[in-house]
Amino acid sequence: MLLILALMLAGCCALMLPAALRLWAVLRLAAAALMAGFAVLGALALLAPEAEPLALPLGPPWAAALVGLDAVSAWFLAPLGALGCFSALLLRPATRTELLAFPPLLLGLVLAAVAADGFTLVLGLLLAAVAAWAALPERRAARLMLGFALTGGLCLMAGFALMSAGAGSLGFAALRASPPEGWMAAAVLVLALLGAAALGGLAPLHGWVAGALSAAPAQVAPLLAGALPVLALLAALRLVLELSGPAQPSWWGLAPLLLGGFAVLIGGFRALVEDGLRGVLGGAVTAGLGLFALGLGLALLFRGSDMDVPAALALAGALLAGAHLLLGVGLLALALSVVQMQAGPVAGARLDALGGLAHNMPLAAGAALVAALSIAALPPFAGFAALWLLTQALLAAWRTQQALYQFAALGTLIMLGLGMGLLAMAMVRLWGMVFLGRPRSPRVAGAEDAPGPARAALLFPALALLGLGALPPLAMALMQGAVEQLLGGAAPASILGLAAGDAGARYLVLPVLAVMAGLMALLWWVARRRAPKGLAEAPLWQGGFIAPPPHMPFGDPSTQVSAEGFAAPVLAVLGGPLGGYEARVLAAPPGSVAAARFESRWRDPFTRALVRLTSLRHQASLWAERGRLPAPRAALRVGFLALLALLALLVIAERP
Amino acid sequence: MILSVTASVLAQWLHGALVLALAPLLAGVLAMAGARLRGRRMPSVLDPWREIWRRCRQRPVLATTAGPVTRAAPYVAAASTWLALLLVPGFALGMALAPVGDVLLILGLLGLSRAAAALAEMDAGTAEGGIRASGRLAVGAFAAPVLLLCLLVLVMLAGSSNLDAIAGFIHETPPSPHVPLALTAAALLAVALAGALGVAGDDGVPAEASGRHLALWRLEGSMRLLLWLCLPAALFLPWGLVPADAGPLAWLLGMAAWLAKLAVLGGLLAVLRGRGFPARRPQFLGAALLLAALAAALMFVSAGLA
Repeated sequence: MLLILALMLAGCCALMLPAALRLWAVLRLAAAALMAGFAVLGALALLAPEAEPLALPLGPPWAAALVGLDAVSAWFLAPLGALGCFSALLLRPATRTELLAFPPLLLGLVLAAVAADGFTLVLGLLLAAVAAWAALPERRAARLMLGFALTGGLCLMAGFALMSAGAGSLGFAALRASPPEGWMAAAVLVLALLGAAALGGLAPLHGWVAGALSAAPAQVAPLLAGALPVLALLAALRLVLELSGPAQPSWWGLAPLLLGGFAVLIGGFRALVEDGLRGVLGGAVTAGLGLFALGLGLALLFRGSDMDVPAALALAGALLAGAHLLLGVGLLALALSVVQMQAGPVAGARLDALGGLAHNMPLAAGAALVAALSIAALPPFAGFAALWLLTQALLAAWRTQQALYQFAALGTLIMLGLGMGLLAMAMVRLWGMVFLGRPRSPRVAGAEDAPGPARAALLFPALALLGLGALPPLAMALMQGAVEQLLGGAAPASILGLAAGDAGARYLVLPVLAVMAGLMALLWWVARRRAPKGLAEAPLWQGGFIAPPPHMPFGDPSTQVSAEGFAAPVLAVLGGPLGGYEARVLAAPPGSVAAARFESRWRDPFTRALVRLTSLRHQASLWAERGRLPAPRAALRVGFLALLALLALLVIAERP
Repeated sequence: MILSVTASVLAQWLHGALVLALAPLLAGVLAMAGARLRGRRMPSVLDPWREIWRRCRQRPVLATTAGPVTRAAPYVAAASTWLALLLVPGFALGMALAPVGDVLLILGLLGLSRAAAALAEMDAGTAEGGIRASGRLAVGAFAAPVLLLCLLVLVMLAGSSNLDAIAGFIHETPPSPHVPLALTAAALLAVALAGALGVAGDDGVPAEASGRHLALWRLEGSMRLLLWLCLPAALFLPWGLVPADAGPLAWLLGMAAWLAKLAVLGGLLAVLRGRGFPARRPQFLGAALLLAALAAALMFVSAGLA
């Protein structure tokens, strides 16, 4: 099996040939077939993982690149292959640079998934990031992305280097045999988290995601949204959970837990305030990655406290969230790519220019609906199963009996709830504004559904996502090997049935589906029995707006809700603190008959702070004009009081 | 064994039929009480039922811009709210669907029906529909962390997030003053009121709906109202709940207690509704979040001291 893997990796390199000759149709077919092969290989390896890695004839003789198909690799390789196959199907005639960048992107991602030593893992991630950089036509966004990616890769490399200082080799088997201790272990933790956050786009280092995704070509966006972030966090998962051994303290989990919760909140908020399609997608990526990180943190926390069942529950949730990021967010990216190919500019399509596409593009609408509801974590879709596992683990965190962890879990729970609520609202807004209502521009009104191969790229992942949602116990059974490998022990039987411990609650999908279908059929039968057959159609009542002018055959687009207007109830409360949102109404001067104007703007305060922090010129000017400190704002003072209260509570609770 | 299984299935069927019948009646009682409190003539209690019946016989009228979402959404929303209601114990504990009845699942089902309603609002493409969808979803987003914190306190008490298990646990503990539980009850009640009271000018039904779709939306709205009353009743007033296999006579007692609890909570709702209580919803929900967080913190501290 490993030999086939090596041959297929070589095949990935051979894809450069059709790309160089600009044979885009050949490249599309070959890349799709190759990635489908990787998916099959991953699925086979899930059933029978291979423990021993294979040395590739690459690199220096004393440290050849190692690839392997252990349970963890297989769990990520199967959906990655599928996503790669479907995004390859979206290939269209393009510039040579864009075509040439595609095979290295695929190769890098697969290498990162199957790597069995630290260097190959980081090499794969960086190869993918550089290929994505080359494929982005917008240079500013590409530079920003490359900067984050190089920083992240450097941090991860440094983490692996620190680990290998004791082991003498970068292979996972050698690293596992000599876990780090003392300050070195802490440094590994910090470097791994920093690297994964920068490379994957975990808040607050998510500044590049929206820009890079907005500029990405149709076939690159799904991989950049679904695959690269997951594999970056996989590197951190390997470093801190698998290779550092089970002897690490439980406080290791605090940072990923809080970072993850924060990323869910920020991701949900970003998805709601962005008005570009890909910007919304970027928010969903950050939030999905936050769920993954949150599960990783909980698993670390519970493992350090010797609580096996919640640790397995949290890890299963994290792995499922990772797979869902590949499949669910990937499917949304595929569907949005198709929408942009058919109905709008590929780069920078905005919600306010679309609408009513469900009539013309039923397949894309259906696929996007499945993805959006799954990302919004509504039952009975796959996203809900992942969220259920993670929330159950989070609800068990109070059992650690340490006030610090309890309050951290409390804060994470608040951020998780609010973030997922905002994300659900953002997904409904996205789907509703793109596919429902009236067309907001003439081009949208004439759009057609996905062409030939792109139909397969929508249909099959949608079916896979529906299957994953209906049969999470199957996913649990397939994941068992990965959980055991990562936690270093037998996985408790209860996670197979999606149960939170032996006495806890269970998530039983099939009965829920059956009862729900029965109730729907009953309602349908009762409502239809008495009603006259058929429906009547009538022109839309426009709510009192005047009839549209003749040059607007599809009605006035401004008589529908706008992207910003939809988010208004949330922006009014959270816009200021989370997004630096400002809005004002500029009334016309006295005597003028001009209409009042509404102006608003928002800037991501975290990215802004990061840019300022890293800008030497800004720091120099700060030093030059340092005067007295400004008076603290009211919110700061209230926050300080709350912090004091929390500290007092901690002291009370920790008192022997 | 077989007898108890049959009894639990029977109790579940009875519960399902009862909530379906009771939901529009509750809406009628609330409308009657509201009119009485304002000193107007009281409408009949049966009015909501009559309207649902009448609408069922009308042909739905769809806007030309509306599509399959308008036609499918009422069935999805009504079925998921009904299923959520089936999972909340009413008069009996241990009904057939009790093992499924996880609080997170109930919240998810409510989210599903809310999403279906929001999409139905947006389908035709009116300005009003979009604004109403956004407002409804925002309330859901702000309520989510409060509900999760309430769940945290209940899980710390009962050791499970299964609604039946939590209700059973609180039912079996002797009633005593318990500060975190009281705070949780207040927070949950605040969310329930925010969910049940409705915004001025929005009766919770998509503006474009008509015919049998409108009938289903009315049914869904009244079931949602009933759910928001049943949930606090089952959690914080669990007295009078009987085991599902206790027999028909005990069931009757349980039903009487259930009706009494619904009457108390419904009366509270009617009074608050008459006063136009939560005008500033995000602030209201923020206060609820604070209460729930305080309850959880107190639980941590008391667990640390014990």
